[in-house]
Amino acid sequence: MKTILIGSTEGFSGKSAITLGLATILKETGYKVGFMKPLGNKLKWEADRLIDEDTQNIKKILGLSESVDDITPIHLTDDFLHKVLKGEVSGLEQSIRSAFDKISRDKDIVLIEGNAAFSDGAIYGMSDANVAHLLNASILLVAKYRSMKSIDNIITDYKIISEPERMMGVVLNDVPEDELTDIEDLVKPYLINQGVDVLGVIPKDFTLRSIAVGQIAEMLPGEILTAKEKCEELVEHILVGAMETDSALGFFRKSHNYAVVTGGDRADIQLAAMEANTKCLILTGNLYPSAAVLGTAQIKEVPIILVSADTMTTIDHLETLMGRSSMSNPEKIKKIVELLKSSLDLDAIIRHIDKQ
Amino acid sequence: MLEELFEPSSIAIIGASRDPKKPGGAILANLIKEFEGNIYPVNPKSDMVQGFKCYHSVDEVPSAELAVIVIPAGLVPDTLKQCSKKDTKNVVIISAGFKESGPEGAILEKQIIDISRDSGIRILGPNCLGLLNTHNGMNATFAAGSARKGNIAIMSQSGALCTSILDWAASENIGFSKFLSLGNKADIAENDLLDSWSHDDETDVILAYLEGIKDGQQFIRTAREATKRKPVVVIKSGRTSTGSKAAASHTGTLAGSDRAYTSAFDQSGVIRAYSMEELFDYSRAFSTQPLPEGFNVAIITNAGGPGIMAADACEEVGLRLASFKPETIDKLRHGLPPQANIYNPIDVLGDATSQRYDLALEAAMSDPIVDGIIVLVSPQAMTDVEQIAQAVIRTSGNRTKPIVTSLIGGNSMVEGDKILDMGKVPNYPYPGRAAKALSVLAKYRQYKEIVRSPYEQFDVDENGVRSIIDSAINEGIYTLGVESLDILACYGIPTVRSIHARTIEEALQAAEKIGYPVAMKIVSPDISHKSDVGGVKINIKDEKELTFTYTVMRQNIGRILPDARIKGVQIQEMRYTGKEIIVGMHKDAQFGPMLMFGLGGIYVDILKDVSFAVAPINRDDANKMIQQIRSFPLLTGVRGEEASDIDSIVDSLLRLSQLACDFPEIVELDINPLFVYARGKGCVAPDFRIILEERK
Repeated sequence: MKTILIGSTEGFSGKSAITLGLATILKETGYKVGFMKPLGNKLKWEADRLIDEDTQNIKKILGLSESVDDITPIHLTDDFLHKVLKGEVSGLEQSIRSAFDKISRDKDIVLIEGNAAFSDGAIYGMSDANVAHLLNASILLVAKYRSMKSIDNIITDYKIISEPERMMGVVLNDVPEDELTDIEDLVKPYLINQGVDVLGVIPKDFTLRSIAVGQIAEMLPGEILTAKEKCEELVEHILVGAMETDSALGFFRKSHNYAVVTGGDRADIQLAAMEANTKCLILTGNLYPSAAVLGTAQIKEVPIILVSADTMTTIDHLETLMGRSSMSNPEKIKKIVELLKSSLDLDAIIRHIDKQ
Repeated sequence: MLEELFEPSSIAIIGASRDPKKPGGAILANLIKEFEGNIYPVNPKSDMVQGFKCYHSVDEVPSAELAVIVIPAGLVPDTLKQCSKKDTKNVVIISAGFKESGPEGAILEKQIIDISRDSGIRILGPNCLGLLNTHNGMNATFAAGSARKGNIAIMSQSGALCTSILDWAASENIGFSKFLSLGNKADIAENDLLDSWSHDDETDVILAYLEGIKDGQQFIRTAREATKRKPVVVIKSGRTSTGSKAAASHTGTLAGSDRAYTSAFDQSGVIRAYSMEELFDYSRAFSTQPLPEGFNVAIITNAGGPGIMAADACEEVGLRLASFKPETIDKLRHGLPPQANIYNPIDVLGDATSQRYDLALEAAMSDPIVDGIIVLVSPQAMTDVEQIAQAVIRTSGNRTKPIVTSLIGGNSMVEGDKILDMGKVPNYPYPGRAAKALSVLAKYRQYKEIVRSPYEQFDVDENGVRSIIDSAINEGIYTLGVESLDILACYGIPTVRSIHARTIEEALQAAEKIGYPVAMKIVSPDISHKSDVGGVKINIKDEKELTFTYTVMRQNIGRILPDARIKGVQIQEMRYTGKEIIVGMHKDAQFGPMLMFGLGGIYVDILKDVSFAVAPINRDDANKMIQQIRSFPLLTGVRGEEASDIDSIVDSLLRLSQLACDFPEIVELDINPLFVYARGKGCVAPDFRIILEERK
């Protein structure tokens, strides 16, 4: 049985997506794949208990039979952190170890999702390096690429680990299209020179940042008035409809896979957005749209979400949601698998696994 | 065929009621009054209604060529299916509760559209007032009144307006041939009726009140055919930003821009009325008067002031005051008192009776220069209004030239107005309205005489453009710019030499190939105004300057727009700038590709001096677009400047029109600027921008 820890140089680098995608691909290849996220940080209450969202998703998608409490034995609640600071926490290693024994039974490979960032968890002795040591895992490091300066983080993480032989290599994620040539020509040779294997370069993809219409309605929250069957549609951008009628159509047409936030009383904007293929309309201020507009939305199969907040608040809220929404949408999973297959050096990863 | 909608031999009223105050009862009562065909009321709860045997279901009805449905919306789809098993060809759905009422209604509307498509039954409505044919007495509306027989057909997207029009027309003595309320336009819409009525012998004038058009491109084609045969006058409401918001909310359809309507109406010969008053002013003139040969008008008046006002009005609406032939002047000089004005406007003086009007009318009528006559009457002591009205009717009787009148006054004009009305001479309360109505007749006549030149099809590289567009869309790029100039080249619009370079080495090689000096432009789907972010540099003289420019440009843009996708630069040959013009297109919500033309710089940005036309256009349309702008004389060469190569602009517009029609995925295209050179030297596009939409 082999173990890979997927860590990242910083939070929101796409670690969960890559873990999910890689697990799916390995499963397809014929491996029995297990999953563990020892330290849960995306917590939510469900059916009177605390549960990590990633854990819940991946368990469902991979069809894992293990209990969520074994997949994620520790929850990073405020209370937990207080106890850590007061020195009241002990036996972490043991709980993680025994949970790992359960979830790894009968598995060929176990993927472990690391902390938000590589050195997170150091205060309770569970940084990614600690966990990898504990569970004898190799480490695949994900780095969100923004500019050549992102390489600093990779080099730093490689320097701080006391067992550098655990490092399999890095995956550069979310790479802007126009940087791809520079990465190939300059960054990759440099990293290899520094002893860092580059196991994949994943181009920026808006689908992965997107959020499903149904999730928007759930998070804002809002009421879906029309075309509920289109809840799985993905929204990549948020546009505000506050312009004159004549300029609205041209404005919306310049964008793709977007949702339009506007007032319930702006029938002209609502219709222009539908004409320009908006994914959904978010109407603010609890202003109910006209019946004729609702009728058109139903015929055009465009969901209308009615929210009570004003436009500014709604947009603030949506901006926080974008890029941080869950990967559970089937379209997103398909996309991440597709992206990983075309941009990861899967052979090299499998060679690493076999070597372990 | 829609003719059967207006001439069914049998009608089933599904949802017929005993109570004439309910729509189902009112329609039955209206039909019983005059309709000569078979009437079959249907109502599961009755055996007799309003003296007719009532059937319990559609199945039992002997025949129902036309079915009028007045039952709750939820029951309509099933009823429609039952109709499809009978001999029913057309159905009028009066019932509301469809798309206009919200999502549930919208689902029902989708169902009835599907049934209509599968069964071939045509549907009028839903959510409408019904229809009326005065020539066979079929009043299948629930309106309180009916209509007089006449030669005007009218359709309205507002049911409530229909009832007002019926009521008003009754008092104004206006008659109709057909009368129809469009409702939600689930199936039958303005284009079907335009086509049908343009072939209808009982209809001489077609009127429409519209809030939107279902298929703009088809409308232009149908209207163009219809207006060859008879005048079509349309009120399109929602002209202003506020009005269009109200229309959007009311109908749930995006009306498109008003200037698109103006262009479409103009290109198809449709006469636009801007108010109900104009709609009926024009229709009265069209329905009673012959078309004038030209724009020369004679004004006959018994008062100076109104004559002058009428002269002003004529000039404002494009009419000319005729200069009479000597024979006419002689006739007037001999027949009228010496104080009378025998030139145009003819002032027959305040003490004139009908004899002087008779004489002036005859003189004007027989003058070959005069194309139409405006008769003004003010009530003075000697004025015999009724006799004058009779004189006008006598002259109008031979119907060779149009006559319009304005009896200016109140009580003393009532009888005269009635006489003119009976004699089919349109009378207007003010001279300006009379002049405007006459001018509309003249303009329609002029339009009818134009023989449209055919559409030209250039030999173009359509596949070349398709592959550029396909590869952009596959990459998820929807904004193309200078790097895709080949799109224009494929359609024969001249472009400057231009090479795309991804690195500084490639840029240097490109400049070498083109030859210094060169221009450098940043290439990015995320930057539409390149010069605003320092993305354009012209006149780069050598390698050193090029290297420097490249580095600075990339660095600065990276700082200003860190998220913009940069795809290198475009190296271009430097050309003499010529006169800057702008040609472009954008896709209108209802009419599709709208072409735009204007002079560059301040003329477009500040003066908004631009013209529009809906594609496809022909050579005449293109010339008209160019001549329409106020700054057109600047292109013809003023103050010693050489005239510009207008033919090359026409050519570019026609090629752009073809491009826009071939690729509906292009939603916006701007060539700004297009450099146009002196006559015979052509034009060239150094840059352009195109926006694509996802394929549906």
